[in-house]
Amino acid sequence: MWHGLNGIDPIIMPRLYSTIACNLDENLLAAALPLFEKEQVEAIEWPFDSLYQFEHIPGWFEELLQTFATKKRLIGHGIYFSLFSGKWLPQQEAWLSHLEKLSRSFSFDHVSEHFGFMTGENFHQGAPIGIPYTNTTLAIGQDRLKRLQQACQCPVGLENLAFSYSVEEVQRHGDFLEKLIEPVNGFIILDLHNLYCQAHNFDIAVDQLVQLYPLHKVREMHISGGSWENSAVNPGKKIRRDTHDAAVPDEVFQLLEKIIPLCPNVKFVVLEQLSHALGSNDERKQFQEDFEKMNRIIKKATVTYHNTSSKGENIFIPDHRILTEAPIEDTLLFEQQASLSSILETANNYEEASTLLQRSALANTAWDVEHWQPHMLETAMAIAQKWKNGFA
Amino acid sequence: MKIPKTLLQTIVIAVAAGSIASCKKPTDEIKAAKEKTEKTTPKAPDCCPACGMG
Repeated sequence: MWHGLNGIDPIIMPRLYSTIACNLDENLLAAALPLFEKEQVEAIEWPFDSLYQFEHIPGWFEELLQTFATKKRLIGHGIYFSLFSGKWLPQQEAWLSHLEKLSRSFSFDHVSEHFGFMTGENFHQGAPIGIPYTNTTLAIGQDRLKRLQQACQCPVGLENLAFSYSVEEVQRHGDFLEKLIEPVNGFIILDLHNLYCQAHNFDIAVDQLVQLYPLHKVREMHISGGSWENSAVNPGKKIRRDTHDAAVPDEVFQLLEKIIPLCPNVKFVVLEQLSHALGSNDERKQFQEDFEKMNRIIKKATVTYHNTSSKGENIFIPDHRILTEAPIEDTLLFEQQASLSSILETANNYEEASTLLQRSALANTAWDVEHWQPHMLETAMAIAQKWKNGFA
Repeated sequence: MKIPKTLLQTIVIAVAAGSIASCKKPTDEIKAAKEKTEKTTPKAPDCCPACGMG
């Protein structure tokens, strides 16, 4: 049942910033320029690890980042750390060193990563895929978050995933996220379009889904658009995918309006869209309209719920120094992940993938492959095969 | 948030020149070169497969 605002004590929220996901990219910057000129962009989320193809970053882009960083309006968003890899990889060590260096140059207000492990052997070629919620994966995730926090020395958090294999996994996701961030007093990015995907794909009311997340831990929200895909194994079923390539649906805006007041620590609301969907003037105009709509909702929420009583603001920094020992690893988990990645990336159809899974090291384990929804296995294959060649 | 005008102008020029993907300064030379050759520069990976449903 949706509780809405009834019965909720008035709260003071940190100031909410209208934010765009921005990077060194012609289309993204072209779409953002009119918003920059109108001084509407209040913060930038920078996917700091996605410029690996660049030899250097031009000075003017660094200056743009620094302009926001000096006002504590720059937030970092990682893609490639692969939080739940069963093995501690040299690339993860290098990734942390890079983040540590960047954090000295740019004062991030916080840094976040994605839930899951990256498919693909190449560090930059793959997609994040879910993991079973076990004590082993919990320990690995907590260990990696501690390292992340040590590297950036600011609040760290995780984003809810848009993808799940089963309804049970959907229902446990929020609880598992809360356990993961507990040792670092971390935060959650609540991606509302990801919730929208999960709600649709598993026929759950989004209002019910929202209640399964620790909303007091939300420091950032994402909104974006996506696409519909037909399922071959479940004819008539349309799968919602978070492809970041279209306008934000009205349902997501409505959700944003309803959920902001329930998240007392939310500080950044980010509009995300991929570059390839911002090539035309019409697409850029739509992006700007979406941003302005988001901004209106945020400003309205700010007026309504600010200037009330002030209690218990979470600064999302651990209250003690976090010591990390040798990285926690699990060889079996790593082998299972490699096997799953291979199956998802190479199977020709759902039937083949399903058969291979039943014969793999994942069968009859906590992965619970026996209960994966066919249309979601099909979707996992589509995602893994889409990204296995990276961005090239 | 206010962004310095000179910085905004630099971004405008860089976007117009199509020099971003190669991370070069938006000089007249590049602009001239751009007029002669069709732009084939790749897009930066601005975001990702990130959310797991991309």
